[in-house]
Amino acid sequence: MLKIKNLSKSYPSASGLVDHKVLDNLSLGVNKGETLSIVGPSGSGKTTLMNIIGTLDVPDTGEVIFEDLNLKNLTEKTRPEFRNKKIGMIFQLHHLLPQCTLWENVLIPTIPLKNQGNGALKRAEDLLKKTGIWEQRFQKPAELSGGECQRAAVVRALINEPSLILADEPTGALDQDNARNLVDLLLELNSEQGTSLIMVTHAPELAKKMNTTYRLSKGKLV
Amino acid sequence: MNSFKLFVSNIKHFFAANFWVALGISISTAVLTGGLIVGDSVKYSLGQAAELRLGNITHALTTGERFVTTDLAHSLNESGIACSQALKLRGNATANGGQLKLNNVAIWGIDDGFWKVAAGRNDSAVFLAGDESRAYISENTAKRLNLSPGDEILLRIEKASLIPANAPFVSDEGQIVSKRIKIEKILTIEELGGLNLRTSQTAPFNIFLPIDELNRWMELGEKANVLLISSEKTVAEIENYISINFSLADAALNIAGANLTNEWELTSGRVFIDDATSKNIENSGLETSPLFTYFVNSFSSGNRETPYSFISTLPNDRLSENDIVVNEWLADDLMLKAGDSLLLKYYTIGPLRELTEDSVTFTVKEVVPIEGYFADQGLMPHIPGLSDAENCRDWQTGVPVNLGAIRDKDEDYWYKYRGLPKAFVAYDVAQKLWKNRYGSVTAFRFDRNQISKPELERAILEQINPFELDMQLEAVKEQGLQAARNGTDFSQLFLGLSFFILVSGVLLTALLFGYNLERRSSEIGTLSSLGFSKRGILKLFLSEGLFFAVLGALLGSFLAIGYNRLVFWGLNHVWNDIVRTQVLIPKIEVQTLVIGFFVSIAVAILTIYLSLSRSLKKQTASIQRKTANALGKRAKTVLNIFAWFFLTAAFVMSLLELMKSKGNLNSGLFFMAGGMLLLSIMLFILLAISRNPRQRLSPLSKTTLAIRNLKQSRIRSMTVIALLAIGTFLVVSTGLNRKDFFSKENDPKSGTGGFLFWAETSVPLLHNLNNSAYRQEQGFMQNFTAVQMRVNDGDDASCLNLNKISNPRVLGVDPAQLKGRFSLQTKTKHVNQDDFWQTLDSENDHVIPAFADQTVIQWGLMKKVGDTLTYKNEFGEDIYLVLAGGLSASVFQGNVIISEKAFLHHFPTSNGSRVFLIDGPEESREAIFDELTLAFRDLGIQISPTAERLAEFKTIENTYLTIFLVLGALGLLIGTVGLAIVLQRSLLERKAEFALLASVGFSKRMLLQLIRGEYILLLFTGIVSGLITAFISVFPAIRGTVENLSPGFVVLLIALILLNGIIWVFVLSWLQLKQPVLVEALRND
Repeated sequence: MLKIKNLSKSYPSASGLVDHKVLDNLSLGVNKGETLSIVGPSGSGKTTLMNIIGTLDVPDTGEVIFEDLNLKNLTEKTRPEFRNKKIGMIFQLHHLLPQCTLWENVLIPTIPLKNQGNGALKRAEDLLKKTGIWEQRFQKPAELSGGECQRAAVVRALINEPSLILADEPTGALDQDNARNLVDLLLELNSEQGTSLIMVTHAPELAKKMNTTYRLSKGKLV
Repeated sequence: MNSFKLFVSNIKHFFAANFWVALGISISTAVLTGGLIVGDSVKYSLGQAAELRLGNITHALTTGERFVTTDLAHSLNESGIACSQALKLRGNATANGGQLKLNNVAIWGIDDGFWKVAAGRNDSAVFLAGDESRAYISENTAKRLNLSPGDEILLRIEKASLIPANAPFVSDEGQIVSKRIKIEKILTIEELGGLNLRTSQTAPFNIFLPIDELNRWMELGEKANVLLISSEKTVAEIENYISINFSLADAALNIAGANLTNEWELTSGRVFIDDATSKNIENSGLETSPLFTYFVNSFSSGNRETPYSFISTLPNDRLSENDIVVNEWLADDLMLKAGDSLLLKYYTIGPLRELTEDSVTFTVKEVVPIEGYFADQGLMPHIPGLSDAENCRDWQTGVPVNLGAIRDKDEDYWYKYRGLPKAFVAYDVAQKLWKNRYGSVTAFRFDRNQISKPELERAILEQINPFELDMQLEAVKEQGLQAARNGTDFSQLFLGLSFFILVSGVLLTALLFGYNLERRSSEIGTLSSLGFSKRGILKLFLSEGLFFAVLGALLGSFLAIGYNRLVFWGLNHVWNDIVRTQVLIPKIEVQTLVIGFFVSIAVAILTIYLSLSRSLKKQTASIQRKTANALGKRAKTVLNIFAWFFLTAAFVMSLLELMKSKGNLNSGLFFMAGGMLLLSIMLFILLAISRNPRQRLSPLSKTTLAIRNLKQSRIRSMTVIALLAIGTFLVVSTGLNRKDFFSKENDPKSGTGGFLFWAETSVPLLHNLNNSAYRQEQGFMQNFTAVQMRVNDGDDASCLNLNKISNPRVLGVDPAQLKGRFSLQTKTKHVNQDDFWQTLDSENDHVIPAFADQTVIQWGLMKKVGDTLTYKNEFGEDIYLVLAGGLSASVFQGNVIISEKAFLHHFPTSNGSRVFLIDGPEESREAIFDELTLAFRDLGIQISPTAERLAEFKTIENTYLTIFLVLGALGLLIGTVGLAIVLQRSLLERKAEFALLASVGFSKRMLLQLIRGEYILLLFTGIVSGLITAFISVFPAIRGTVENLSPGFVVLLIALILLNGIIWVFVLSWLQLKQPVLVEALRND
């Protein structure tokens, strides 16, 4: 489903004189329904890799092939649509919009869809119930706990039935119990919906729950 | 580290951000202090104008239509009161071969004493003696007539005469004296060129001539009608000095020995001795016999008739009511003997020389020989044109004389006996028949054996109160300075006009400071967690706020001076209509700067304090989470009550006014209704954006998301909406109230009264323009009618005068002639709305109903309908003009109108009319104009179309509105800057939100749409709310019957504001989302 070939990405160093290579000729393959975790120290390039896969960033060299689509061929116009339909993202902070209720927050990715239909509403209801936050659907993020908010972020990521979930340290702001529960939930939903999952984490025990675990070191996956 | 060090480091670190707060404060300070400085400057300028127009003159004695001798001034000088006599006359001047003409010129006859008294100078300014008449003229006169020293002008001056121009049998020939004069010098306003006894900042057109020469031209002898006084004494003290030094000659009285009887005869140079003096003499206890000699058209008996003769009186005890004594000559002529009937025809003279021929029949009691008393030619008063005529055919009588009726024997009688009365009736009978408003006695006679001349003179002087003889002493300087002090308050005016900028400045300060606080919310949290008390944090932040408030206020004080210069530039150039003075001097009082500085700091600190305490509360609330950003139930209920109250009040007020009013809607009331509606809408919007989202499982649209975003920053959104709404409301309502004219000028109910022209003459017209005989005589071909008005000069109370006026010019008009014309805006309950003019005829003793323009009542006089104006009538008595009604803006602006009847009752010797309203067919407009201009050229007629006159007044109103509009627009611009700031800050704050939206598939276009939609929604909500409510406020103008609206400028202004806002929204959102994606914002750290 996802093939990454010889991906490289550099950022200018703080001094601006030398480029800091974050990803160095990195290659990776992810099958449909597969779950994998990426671990590594801070600044090793995990988020950069996630952003490139999520089309939020572009590589210097190399290719990302997603379901036979070379992401290089995406234009400024088609990239958001691809992201909207194919990718679901979860971040360390839930980034729920404080002005919207939970219900509205999970429906945000449906806005760019030309035809929202009842399908999305039904899915939202199912997912909220499954994640155990149905009762809180009319509450605003400020009125919820961190765990509840992060579960809502999971629902938001899944609402458009993406092929791939990119979870960038989704449990970073949660306590151990909540973190474990969230990962279990992700895996459960993943298997139910047949979605692939790439999760960046610092926690080895959570990483182990995935089919495959990679360590990102010196720009390469090992 | 201590608190001070923390304070200093905070100042340093946050200087850039807080500097913008200081800038916001500086705007408020500039507007506040600037407005106060404008007020000070105008007040100072008006005071200066009063100083410049009067020099050292502190008091002025004016004598109305009378004259005093120049000796009075000399006597006062000898009594230690610096005084200079002047002869002030009205006239007009033409220059450049008649091409340049100036009406309403004040011609001052002065002598070198004037410069001593008024300017404190003993040097130079003495007029040069020479063959040519030389004059000094004021700068503005020179400018209008394009004159330089050495140039010549032709002066047409109203002929001054001791005898009132409209007195019976006085000829109206030679009413104008024309003289060519050479300009010697042009006097600046500093050199008293702007001499003006009236309270006004506008200099009159002055021409100064030697008083002796002017007296010569007028054949007055040594007379003056103004005494200019420079003294520190009070009015009462000076009045006392005047009374002491007053002579019989000052009252135009003279004592001489009678020709044939052993009597002293007291006569008046005015022909008739005025009633006040007569009554005093009759009641004085002096033994006297009053005489009343009158000119009659004919005596007839059977078919015999004797034309044009004088008749005099005998004491009442000698004749009964129907008796007449005739002399031998008349008896012979009419073959009369005792017991015969004698028919007597005579004219009575009404206002404007309207003659009515009446008749009365007497029974001859006695035929007397022409000897003794009956041969006394002195019984006929001295009447110029009659007394000095060699024969009857040379008579200039002021009444029509049929020369064909005069026989040779009549000429012989005149030659032999002159005006010797041919018949005598009882004194009381003569009074009853011929008493007129100039008097009812032509002479008093006193027995020479009983009293010497000096004794008699003293005795009579004791009976005369100069101030009952139309003389008024006024403390002109004090009045002028007081009027300047209490005049139009430009501080209030400009603070009012700049109010929106002030509010914008304060809101901007609140917004900017609020943002800074939000940015530092974590710092507040940290300080709190470190054990700082809420009070300690408040103190720390307030000290920072105070620092920047002082900085802003200091900066604002400098800006205020700049703002003041800008406003003065406007007032001296584009807005000069409202000040009309050349002496507008900027005056910066340290006290004002200090007041502005501290008030601004106080306002800023209060604003900062409110933001701060709100922010601290929010901090606590956000810890408690659940109440964050929510409006309490109680608050909602209160807001709801207020919103519905204002809404209901606005509609009820408008509906009641619509149902009640029969034409003119009260614009003030609708403005208030519009304001209330605006308040109500603002509250409803606040309630709407404070409402919790509905608990509904509906799809989420971009619009819903945009609304949620606006709701999130409720206060910010409301601030922007309110700024834009209030700004739009003010700009549109003032803009639409600007008036264009000429639309319905023919409507009799309009401010023009449906008349074609308003005309004024420098010299009064003594005749009735509607009289067909007079029209025929003048050769008028056009069919027009005229409403003629008598004038009692006063101060100009129109909006052209910035001083506070207490005695405006009074016009006396026949109310019947104005029936159905003009309309009342306000009235007392006694006034009948349908025929309100008739109210003017209901004089009650000294209480006289009067009308004036509502704007004059409100702004010029600073009074209201029902209030009273106190004047002195010709007899020195107080009369009370009750303002019974306020006219809708009309051509009468600046005047107070009373009935002609009341006018003549209190100002009986007023000469003719000087103000006219002319009506006629529209198609003859030009012909009527030409005819009147030609006919009354010598009277200095100035004719202007009524619509033009009205437009001139409206120009002032419009200028005020324009200032308001411009300042309002400036405020609105600041409002859009506020929008820009809100936008910029929000965009920065919402980086993470945009990144999130990008991550879930929002394209850049969609993000831009979302952001722009949100802010354009704010922009539109504000502007539309303002527009809707503004239309309510200008509903009377929209429905108005008189004026057109001028929406073009307003539409342009709103379009510009909208465009300005849209550009900000587009540019800032584009700049913000310029980066490909905002991934940085989503970084986990």
